[in-house]
Amino acid sequence: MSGVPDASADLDDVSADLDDGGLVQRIAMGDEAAFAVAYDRHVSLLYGSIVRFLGDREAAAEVVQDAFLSLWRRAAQFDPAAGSLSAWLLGIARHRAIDRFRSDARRAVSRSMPLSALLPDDGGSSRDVDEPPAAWIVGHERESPAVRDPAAVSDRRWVQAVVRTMIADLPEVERSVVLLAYAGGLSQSEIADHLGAPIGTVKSRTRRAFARLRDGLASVPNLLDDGDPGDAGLAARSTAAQASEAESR
Amino acid sequence: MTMPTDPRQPDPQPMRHPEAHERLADLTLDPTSLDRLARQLDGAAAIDPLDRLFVAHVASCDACRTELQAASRVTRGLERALAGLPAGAATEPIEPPTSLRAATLAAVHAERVSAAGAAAASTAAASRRTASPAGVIGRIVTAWQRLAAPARFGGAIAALLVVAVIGAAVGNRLGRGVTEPPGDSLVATLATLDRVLAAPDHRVAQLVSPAGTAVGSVAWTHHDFTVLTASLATPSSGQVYRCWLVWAGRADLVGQMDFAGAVAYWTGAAGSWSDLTFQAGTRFEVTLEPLAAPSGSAPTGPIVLQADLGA
Repeated sequence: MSGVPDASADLDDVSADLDDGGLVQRIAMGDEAAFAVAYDRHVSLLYGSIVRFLGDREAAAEVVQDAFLSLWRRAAQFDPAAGSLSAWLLGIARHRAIDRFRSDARRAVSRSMPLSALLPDDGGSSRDVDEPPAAWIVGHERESPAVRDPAAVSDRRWVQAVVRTMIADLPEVERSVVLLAYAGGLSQSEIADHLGAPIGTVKSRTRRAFARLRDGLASVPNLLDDGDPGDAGLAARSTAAQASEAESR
Repeated sequence: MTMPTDPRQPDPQPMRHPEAHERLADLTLDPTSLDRLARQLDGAAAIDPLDRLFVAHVASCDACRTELQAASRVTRGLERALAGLPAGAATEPIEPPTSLRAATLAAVHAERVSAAGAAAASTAAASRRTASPAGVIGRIVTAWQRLAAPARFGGAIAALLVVAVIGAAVGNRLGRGVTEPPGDSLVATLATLDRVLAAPDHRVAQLVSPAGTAVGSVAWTHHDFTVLTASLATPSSGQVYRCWLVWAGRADLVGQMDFAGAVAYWTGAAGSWSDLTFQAGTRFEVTLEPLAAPSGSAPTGPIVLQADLGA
């Protein structure tokens, strides 16, 4: 259409399989079509995570837009060697979202609402998420001093928001097996019975889902870093156990 | 930490790399499997023979150790993320609104245009004085901001569009060496827009390109109708952008777009057509037409902008 500028019209000029580093280089040169590709590639994770974090779609839209405008303005500062584009965008969005989160908390306090009312941060009539409010933080953890620390609350909530979004963005057949296994506690054979699917099918779906989630989480390397020795320790314990066994022989 | 061994069993063949990968994949099928392995390694449970071989391999294979570490982190992350989530709870994708994409791309476009305009202005400032139509530009700013006000996230967009409009207009004027401010008809349009937006019953609809990108807005009351956009290029000589109301298979010509720098605009009033309470399915369209086309004819050129009025 002559005379009508439209970034979408130029999308064909950008290779769809250009990696994020290449896209950002083009964005830094003012390439709107490359920006549109980057937007399409990452908006789902950002928007889903922020909606789940803030519980407010309208506020999430503002945060996500701010994050992408930061990409447009600061693309030259992005260093692919320092981390993935999704991690970079999530980092920006997280800061913006936490500012809102704290702002909401301050407003609540100024209205003499108890801060504890915000701690689960999972509901209220104005909240707009696709999960039941009580699902955000399990009951016994509400009593934990760590959970009552606002920073810990927001950290935990952020991890939940991002990981749940990654799960939600899985293909439906993979999402269902992950939920049944990890939220429902069902074994693979129980899942097969539940779904009426062959066990082999269930296993292959679970494997594919796990691989996708592992890759997705690997692109946000610091997301799960919370100093929990239980995670990092397993491989180390394998080595120690093997060494101990070798000594005992 | 020792692993219980059965002295009656001969040492089995060591697990090879592909088998270890397979075993690790199996362990991730069930969220309790890695916990069980951890308990075995802690000596709290008898170790499974298969796990013994797996552990032996992991102890000597950096790659598999890294894989195990990553898998256990993911497993723990999933457990934490889904803790307390009822099995039947919906964890559906949350689709970003299409308007967010349009608004974000429009904002970026506006910034780029603005930057280009600012650069042009900066380059020419030393050698050329330009009259600044500050009053009119200030009103454009206000108009854009108010037009975008219904969407909270549109506030930033509106501001950016304003910058773009001003920047592009400045660049345009400089490029042509023209210093006159926008024409009186734009002032009149802005006055109409002020009136429309002040009316409690005013409506606003998104103006989109054929690709679906949001490029502006139309606003109307039962008396007035205004269109303002920065997305149209000035038509070549012999062409004109015509405005149509389209519904029930008919198209009525209602006006044509005017230009002030990069800003294209049009305003109409009740009486120009019969009814401003639009029926469902009514669209506002802008087409690029030959100037010589009879004013009463149906549109012949391509649709360059449109808005749904009767939604």
